[in-house]
Amino acid sequence: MEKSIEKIWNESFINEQSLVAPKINDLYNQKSKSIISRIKRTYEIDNKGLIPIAVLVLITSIIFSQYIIGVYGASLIIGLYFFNRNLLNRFNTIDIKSDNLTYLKNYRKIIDYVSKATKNLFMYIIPLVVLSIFILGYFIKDTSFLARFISKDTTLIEILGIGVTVVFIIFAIAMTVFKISTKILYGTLISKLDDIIKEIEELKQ
Amino acid sequence: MSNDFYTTAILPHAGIIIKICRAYTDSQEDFEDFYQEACLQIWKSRTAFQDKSKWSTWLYRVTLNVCLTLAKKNTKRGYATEITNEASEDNKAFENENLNLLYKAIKKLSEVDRAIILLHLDENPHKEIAVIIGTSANNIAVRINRIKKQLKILLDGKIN
Repeated sequence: MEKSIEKIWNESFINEQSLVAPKINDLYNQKSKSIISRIKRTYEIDNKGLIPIAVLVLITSIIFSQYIIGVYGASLIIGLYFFNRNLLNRFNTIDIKSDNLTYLKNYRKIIDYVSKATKNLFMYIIPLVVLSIFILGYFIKDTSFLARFISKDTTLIEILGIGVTVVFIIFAIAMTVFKISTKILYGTLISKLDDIIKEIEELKQ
Repeated sequence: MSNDFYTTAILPHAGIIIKICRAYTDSQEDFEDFYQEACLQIWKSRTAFQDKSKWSTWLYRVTLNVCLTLAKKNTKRGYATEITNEASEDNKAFENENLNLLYKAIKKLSEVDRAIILLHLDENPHKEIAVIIGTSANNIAVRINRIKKQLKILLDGKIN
């Protein structure tokens, strides 16, 4: 190759205005294809799905005369909706016009934050919610769903024992689902991002 | 976004976006996706543009950020169309054999080196490249020399 790369480049693009842009249809209504926007959209759809679930829980509890547990369950689901909504706001903080290193680092931080928040939700919040339903059920055991499964003289410790067992099963399933979904959703992206960030940081030194 | 914005603010600079997107994609579908995504993000963040920097510099930043982070999906598709002269027949520039070889060599570089050399080839000063990437001008100068040597080896061996 005799010509310098600069010469090849300049000769090929003598008239840059002649480059023809790909046809784009209805760009203004197009949805973003970036992974962050896709994750955000999926979260938004999933999150909105919690509202009908909360309504369904409430209606079912009314049908089965489990008013207190119904209201409690529906409130928890609505709480989860607001938790997720708050989480989604993080996506809006990424500034795409910042320099590459800052942008990639912010991008990485958001992924970490979402991942950590989801993990905490699976690890602590969901088990606690399930356990709290058992405790609530114990205190209103005459009228709650637990009346069908336990005798009147069952102690709180015994109920807690059952609750903890259920929580452990839910925890094991939830963590497995979390790990698999994280790997599928973020695995390749995270390693690619880390490589690029590492390279720019090395360049910076 | 109004059609006016695309026609007046993006289209006159489409060349920059095309050159970058082409260096980060291997198929025509990906190329069009990346181009569209870059335009979309430019439009979305247009209100944040300040006159402190040149509009073209700003386009570089957004387009590079899009290309560096856009999820690649065509590796999973068996039917992806490779970018060939035919696929880009609208652009006579890409029919140039030397340019095609150069692009092939550029694609062998890491994502960061690709960004640096594209900015250099488009005659951006080292200082500006450093600002776009997020590093220092001295490091950029050293890196450009290294990349050029790497490209020369690839081109002399007609890429491998």
